[in-house]
Amino acid sequence: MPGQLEALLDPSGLADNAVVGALAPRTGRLEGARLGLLNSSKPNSAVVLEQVAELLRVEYGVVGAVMLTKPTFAVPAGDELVAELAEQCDLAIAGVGD
Amino acid sequence: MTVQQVATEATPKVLVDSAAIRRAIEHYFERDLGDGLPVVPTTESYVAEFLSEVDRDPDEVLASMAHLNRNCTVRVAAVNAAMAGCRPEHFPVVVAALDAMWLDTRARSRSRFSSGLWQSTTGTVPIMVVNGPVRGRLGFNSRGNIFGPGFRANATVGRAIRLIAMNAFGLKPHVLDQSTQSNPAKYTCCFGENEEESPWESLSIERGYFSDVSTVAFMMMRSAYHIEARSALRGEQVLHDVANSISRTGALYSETTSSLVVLGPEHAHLLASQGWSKDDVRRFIAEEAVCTRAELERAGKTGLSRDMHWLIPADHPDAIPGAHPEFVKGPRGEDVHHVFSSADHVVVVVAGAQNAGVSTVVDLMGLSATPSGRDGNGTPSVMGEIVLRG
Repeated sequence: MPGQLEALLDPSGLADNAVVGALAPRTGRLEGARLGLLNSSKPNSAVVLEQVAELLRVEYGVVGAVMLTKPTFAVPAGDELVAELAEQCDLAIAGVGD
Repeated sequence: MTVQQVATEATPKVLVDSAAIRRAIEHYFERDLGDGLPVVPTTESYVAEFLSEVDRDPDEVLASMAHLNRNCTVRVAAVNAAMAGCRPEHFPVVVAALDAMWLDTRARSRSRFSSGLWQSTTGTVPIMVVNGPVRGRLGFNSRGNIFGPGFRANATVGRAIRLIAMNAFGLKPHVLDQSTQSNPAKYTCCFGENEEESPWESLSIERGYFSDVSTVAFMMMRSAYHIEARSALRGEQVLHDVANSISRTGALYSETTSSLVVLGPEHAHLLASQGWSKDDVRRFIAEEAVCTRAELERAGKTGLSRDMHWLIPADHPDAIPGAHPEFVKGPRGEDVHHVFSSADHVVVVVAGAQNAGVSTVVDLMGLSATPSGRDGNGTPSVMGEIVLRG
């Protein structure tokens, strides 16, 4: 005899709001925005980020480019580093070199 | 009567709605929820059976990846364990493995290796060793074919951890999982220690647990390779093979490394019968696993990178000028580098069949900065205690 029909469950946990925190609001524009660069500290990370910053300056009009460097690439950026980026910049790009 | 006829007659007919089963399986494939193999379609009533096997709040967060904005609750772990093919009674082992994994991840976030290991280009994967009475009770294989297929507990508990990584943390290849190649153990890698055929105390006893307690040890693995030494007459011969294999230049990435040595019972008994304790084995391997300066030079690994002190060519632009891994004088007067900084960084377990002189070495990645490391630098394995209800 068939059992009762049941819904298949979602294994991602996203439906249960199993999230840790909210993302920062998006800026919505690049013209005049202060750019931050988060260097992973892997070899070549800074090279790639500087090239991206140059393109964003020339083609989209972002201003400045503060580069902060993680102590090591293998750990997420610490709270202080993130706070410093948030204070100095309107948007930030994280890059990984290798 | 043919074998096939016997099997057919002995098996009662099971009638199913084939289209409904396929539809349920395809539901998960269409949503990219899985590891590429079919999963067990999972519903609320089935998950309730899993949750009733553990004394944990379904909403308790077992592990969290803050930088990915994702976490895994007991309930989400149960959904994934069911999908992986676990039976409800296997779930306490999955929870214990996640407890150990979370201890490991938090410890590593204070050290130089972190949860980033789950996304690393190296393609590191969890490897789990089960100890204690739970092995017999739940059917964990610890004898022949420990790294191979055929045993539901081994296969599905390991797979549950991978499904949790992919579904709960969103660690999908090409996206948040950036492994360059990884290795086949990423599907599943979990086995029991063959305590019954080991001459030594088990890993869990060694770590201070009583023999009636079951545990799962959690480690992060880079690769596993076969040690062929079936004709060895002396323990040293086996251990030289092991040490030589560990110290090959391709395995070396940092100033020091850590390894899990899975000795087959024959090798373990050969060693024990000649007076070797597990500690002797660890110390010998740590002492003998050396690489000469000339070998490292040929492989471009005599320099140290600025931030992580990885082994890179001395003339690499990222190399610290003049810095190199530590060398000491070897027995023939040549410069040699010890790949282990401590005998504690060699974990030894006994597993496999007692039918040939064969062992396996598992290269691990880094150490957890947990206090159990005797040198204060952490240990390569973190233990989770398995708590069964009833």
